[in-house]
Amino acid sequence: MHGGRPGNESCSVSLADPIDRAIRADKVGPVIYVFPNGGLVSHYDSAQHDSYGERVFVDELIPYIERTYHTLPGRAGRALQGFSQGGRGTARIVFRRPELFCSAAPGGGGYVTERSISDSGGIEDTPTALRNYGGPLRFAPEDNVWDLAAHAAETRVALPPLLVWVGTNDFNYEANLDYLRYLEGLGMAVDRLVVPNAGHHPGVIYASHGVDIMTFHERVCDWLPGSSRPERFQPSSSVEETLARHAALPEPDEEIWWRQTGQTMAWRNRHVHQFAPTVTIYRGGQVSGLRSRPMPEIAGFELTVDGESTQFDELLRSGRSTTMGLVVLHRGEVVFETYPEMQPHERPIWWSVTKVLTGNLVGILEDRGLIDVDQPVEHYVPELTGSDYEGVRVRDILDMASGVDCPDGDYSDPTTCYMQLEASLGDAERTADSPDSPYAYLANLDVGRWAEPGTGFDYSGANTVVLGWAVEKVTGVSFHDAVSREIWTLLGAEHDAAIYAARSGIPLTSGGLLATPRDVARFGLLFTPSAVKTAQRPVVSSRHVEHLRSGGRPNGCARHVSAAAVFLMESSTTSTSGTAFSRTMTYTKVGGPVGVCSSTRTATWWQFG
Amino acid sequence: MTPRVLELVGVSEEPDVRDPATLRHATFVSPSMQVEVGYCVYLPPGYADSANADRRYPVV
Repeated sequence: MHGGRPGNESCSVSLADPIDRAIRADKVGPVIYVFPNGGLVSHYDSAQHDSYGERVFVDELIPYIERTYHTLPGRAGRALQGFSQGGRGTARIVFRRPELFCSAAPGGGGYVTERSISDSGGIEDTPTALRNYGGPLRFAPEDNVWDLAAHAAETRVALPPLLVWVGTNDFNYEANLDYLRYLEGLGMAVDRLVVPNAGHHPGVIYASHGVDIMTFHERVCDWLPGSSRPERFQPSSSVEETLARHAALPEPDEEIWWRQTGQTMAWRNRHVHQFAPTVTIYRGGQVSGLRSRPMPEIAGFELTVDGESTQFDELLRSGRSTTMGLVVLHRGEVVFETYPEMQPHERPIWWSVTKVLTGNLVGILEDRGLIDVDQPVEHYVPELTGSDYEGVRVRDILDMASGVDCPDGDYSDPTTCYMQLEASLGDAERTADSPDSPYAYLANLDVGRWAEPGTGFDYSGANTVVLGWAVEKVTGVSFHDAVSREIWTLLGAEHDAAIYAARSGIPLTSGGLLATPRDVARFGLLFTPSAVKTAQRPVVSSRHVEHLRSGGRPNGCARHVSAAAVFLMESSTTSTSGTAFSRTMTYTKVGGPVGVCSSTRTATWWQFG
Repeated sequence: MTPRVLELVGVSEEPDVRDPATLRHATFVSPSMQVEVGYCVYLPPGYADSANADRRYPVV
C-alpha cells in the first residue's frame, strides 16, 4: 500500500525492481505483488469525501485479484504491507480484518498523527490534511492504529505475525519505535527491521533490505518451497465416503467406535467431531509463525525394517506405517513435516497426549500455590473422601503411582474398573449397569489398592480423570475452559482445539484432545527453551520442566507421567490389546532422555525422550 | 455498466514500467463505487509459462 494522498497505484512501483532481482536470484520464492490505489483518503474509508479505499481494497480488489490471477487461496496466501500512509493503512486494516492475512508489515507509518486522531476522538487536522482536504478529516472514534490494535489484543482475534520496518533517518523513526513498543506491551510479538541511515523512502529500504521483508512474509506464511502444505484445499473425506463411514458406525450400546483397526480406525480418528459431541478449546492472540528449516537427512535417514533397508520418509508413506502425520521441531523450527494419512488442517484425536494438558494444568496451579501436591487429593475434591483415592497425595496420582487398582489394560473386558469409568464418559460400550457419571463413579470407587500409594507405577487413565476433576475444583471452571484460559489462548495456536466429550458435555481429560499437528507441536515447544518462539509469555514454568526432566518416583519414571509423556503413548508403540491405533505423532525432546519407566506391576515399559 | 471515473482517485497515469512482462498496470471496476480503479501488479518470472499453468502464487 502506497504512501501519500490521494491514491496513486504507481507510487510504489519502484519496489518491483528489487523484488524481481530477489526472485531471479532465488533469494525468495516467486510471489505476486499488487499495488492498489488507496482512493481519495488513501486506504481509509471516508464518508466525508465519498471515498472508500479500505472497503474497495479488502472486499473488492482482493477477491478480484484472486479471481483474476493464479493465487494461493485464502489467508495463507495473503500478506499485507505498506509504507508511510500505507503503513498506517496496513496497521488499521490488519487490526480490523486480521483473519484475512498471514502476515502484515507496516513500514514508516505516521503514528504520531494516528495518536492525535485517537486523542481527539477521530479528528485529523494536520496542516497537510487541512491543505489537501480543505478542512479536518473525521474518522469514527477508535478508528486509528492505536485503538484498533488495543481492541484486537482484547478480543483475541487471530492476528498474523507483524513486522515493523523503518529507517533511522525517517522522520517517523521514533514514532515507529513507540508504536512497536506499544504493540509489544499489548502482548503481541512484533519483528522489527531498522535500516541504518535510510530515510522515508520504501524504495531505498527495498533496494538494500527488501529480501529481509520478503523473507519475513515467506517464513511466517510458510510459503517456502518444499513446504508440505498443499497448494489447494483438499477435503478430508468425500461425500460418498462420509456417508459410508457413518453408516458403518456401531450403535453405542453394541460396540464402541474405536474397536476397529486399519483405514476404518484412521477415518474415525480424524473425524471424531462428526459423530461424537466435543467441547471447544479456544485459541487466542497472535498466531505464531513456525519457521521451516527442512533437514533432508531426516526424510532420507536409512533404516532397516523387517530385514529390508528403507528410508524414514519412505517407511512413513508405506503400508507398514500407520502414521497419519508427523511434525519434527528443532530449536523451535520445523525441520521435518509430513502428512501421509491426513491433511494438515485436520484435527485428529490425540488420545493419551491429552494427559499432558492435564498434568500441565496441575503444574500451573502448583506454580501459583493453588495446589500443593503433597496434600491428599480429597483436600481439593472432597467428594473422593471414602473412595479408594482418599488419602492418596496429588503427587502420587501425577506419578501414576496412586496404587488404586484401576489400571488401563484389557480394553475388551467391560467389567473392569477402567472400562466402567470409560463407559461413564461415553468412551466404552454402555449397558444398563454402566455408571451414569464419572464423578459419581470415582467418588464411590471401591476396587481396593494393588500397592501402597507412591510405591509402584501403573498407567491408568483414572488417575488423569481424577486430576482433571481437581483442576475443575480449584479453578472453578470446566476442564476445557481451564485449558483455553491457561494454555491454548496463550500458545500462538493457529486453530481452536476441542475435546471429545461423549456424554453430558464432560470432556475426556485422559484422552480426548482434537487438534492439528502443528498446534500440538506448538504446545510441545512450551516444554523447551524455544517456548518463546510460540508463546508470548511463559506458560509452562521452568520449575515444572525441571521436574519432568529430573525424573520422578518410583523407579526413575518421569515425574507427572500421567501427563509427561506426550510423547510416550504416541511415539512408542500404541498397540494396545491388539488394537492398532492409527496415530498422529508429535515428539518433543526436553533436552535429553527423560527416562524409561517400567511398570512394576505388569512388566510393560514406557520410554520417554 | 458504464464506469464513472473520478479524477485523482480512479486511474493514475500508467507507470514507466521497466519490464512489462512482469510489472503491468490494469484496472478493475469497483462494484460498490461503480468506478474504475487502477492497480499495478508484479508477476514473477515464469508466471505466464504454460508449464506453470496450475501453479498458485502467494500475494503481497
